[in-house]
Amino acid sequence: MSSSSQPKLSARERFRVRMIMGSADVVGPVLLVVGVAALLWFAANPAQLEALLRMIFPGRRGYLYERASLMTLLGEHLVLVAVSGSAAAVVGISLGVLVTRSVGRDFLGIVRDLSSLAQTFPPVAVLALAVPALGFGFKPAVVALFVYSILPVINNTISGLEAVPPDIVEASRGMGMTPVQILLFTELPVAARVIIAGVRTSVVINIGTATIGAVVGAGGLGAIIISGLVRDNYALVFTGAVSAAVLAFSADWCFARLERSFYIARSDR
Amino acid sequence: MIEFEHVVKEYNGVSAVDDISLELPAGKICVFIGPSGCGKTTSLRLINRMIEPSSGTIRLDGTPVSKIRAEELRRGIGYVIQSVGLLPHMSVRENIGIVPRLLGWDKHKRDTRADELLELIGLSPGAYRDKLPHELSGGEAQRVGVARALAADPPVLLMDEPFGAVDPLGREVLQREFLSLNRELKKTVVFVTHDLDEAIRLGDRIVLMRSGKVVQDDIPERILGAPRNEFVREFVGADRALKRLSCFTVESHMHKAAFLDRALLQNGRPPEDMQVNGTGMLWIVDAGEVLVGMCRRSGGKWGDVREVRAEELGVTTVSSLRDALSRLLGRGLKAVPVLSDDHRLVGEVRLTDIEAVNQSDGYV
Repeated sequence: MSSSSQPKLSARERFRVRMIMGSADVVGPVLLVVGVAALLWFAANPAQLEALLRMIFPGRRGYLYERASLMTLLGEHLVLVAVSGSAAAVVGISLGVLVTRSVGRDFLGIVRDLSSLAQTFPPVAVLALAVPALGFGFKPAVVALFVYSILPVINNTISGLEAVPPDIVEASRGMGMTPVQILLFTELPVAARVIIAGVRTSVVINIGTATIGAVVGAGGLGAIIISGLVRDNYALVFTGAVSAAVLAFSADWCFARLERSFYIARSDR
Repeated sequence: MIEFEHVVKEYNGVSAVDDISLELPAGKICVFIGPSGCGKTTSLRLINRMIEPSSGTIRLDGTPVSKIRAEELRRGIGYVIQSVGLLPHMSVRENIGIVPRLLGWDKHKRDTRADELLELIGLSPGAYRDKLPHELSGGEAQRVGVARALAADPPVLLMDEPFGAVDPLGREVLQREFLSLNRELKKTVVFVTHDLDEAIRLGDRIVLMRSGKVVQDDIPERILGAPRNEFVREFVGADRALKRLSCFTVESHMHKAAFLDRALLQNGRPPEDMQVNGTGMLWIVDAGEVLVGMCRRSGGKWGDVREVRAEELGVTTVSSLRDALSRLLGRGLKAVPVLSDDHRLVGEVRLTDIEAVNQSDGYV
């Protein structure tokens, strides 16, 4: 990176430039916009969707899911992911911060183990356990997704914070920052890239896994997939799976961009 | 003024600092030196409460530091560490503005101050203020580290091997710059190093430590000239006579120099009837008194005027006698010119001056 040729730019502006330059390959964004636009258009025009599916899977009946529109399912899916994902991000980052403080350091091992353990549980099993306590519907699905997607957030938060060079923490302390200021001004900004990467992984996994929410009646794109599987109707499976894939790709791309806007640790450069 | 009163710091029953009592005068550079593990860094970190003492009191201008909230204390004391520790996601300007920001200065005041300090440490604000730390060389980063420590104009500066990671050449430049900087700012500086040359060059006072105790606390000349015991003698080494020359500046030992305006040369030589005392050296200057040449008189006749480049031949008033000696020997001259910062001739230092220094005090 030769930045000496652009001395007029502030550090922040240079980050912005780097962000735009990073997306200089236009294939990604174009595919993304086309994909999302197509998804929304077909969701808003069921007749066109049916025509398309008829072309791909000729000679069947019942191309559309009759209990809810694709738009509704997309909405339900996004709400599931948003609620469980943001809860996992907030709780995961908080836990990661907590166990890297001197007061919480004793819990570092336990939290790491527990979050790994949570990841080994199949989400369906978590659902099965959650249903007796929370009943059917939205709640048990959110709990299962939350438990399942918290691991990458915790792991990356811990790794990111532990990779902050000790000398800059020492310097921050020596300049008279309080522990909270050290966390906010020094540790989190330096670790941000790694932490965002964890959230990115978490959200992408979450979008895929959210399809099983349908098992307990939480709706979402899983409803259409399961219904299709039960009825041997591949048009339905296809609609649900492709929609979920478009969502996952878009989320991944957006987070990748967000990630790039943060400071890059020297070793990654 | 910083006072240590019976200060002890123990780690698991082992004393890193063992009953130290010291008074560090205001406005002076005091260097803590000693072999690794002697407790010099620990002593330094006790001052801004990065470490708390096991017992004893440290006072800053009469107030025990334990009575001041640690963060507040540290904001009022500049702190420079070997690894610099510039925050990598912040620009040079933001880094310099950290302590002012903690103290609640507004952005305009912080930015003005950062530019002022960049100017002071010799980095052009326009070119450097928006750089990120990874775009700086080691020496530049270290300068910015010093600027950052000076940002809120603290009366006290703690420096823990600040130039240790810089190459020897760059280190000397940084030392020289820091010395002339502090001549102006008159901060109370506590400086930790394991490099004796650095200690001699910078210190108004040297505190030599070993296993947590102060072995000798003295001015550099006396550490070298009158080592208190075998340990000190060994630590300062066999070449202490040479090292001792670093304690003296040219300024305090120079003579008036004979010089002639270039316009008065006749056929490229000084007038034959011109006589000079001392070493027989005549310095040729231009109308602005800037050194441009030199001429030697031998056998009652003037030789040819040799053009010289002032900055290559001369020493400055703040150079040490050791630098001067090295120039003298290197050029085979009996005297070297002493120049001001803008290369004007202000005097000369002779070989005999240097001999006189080591013969004084009966010290050889």
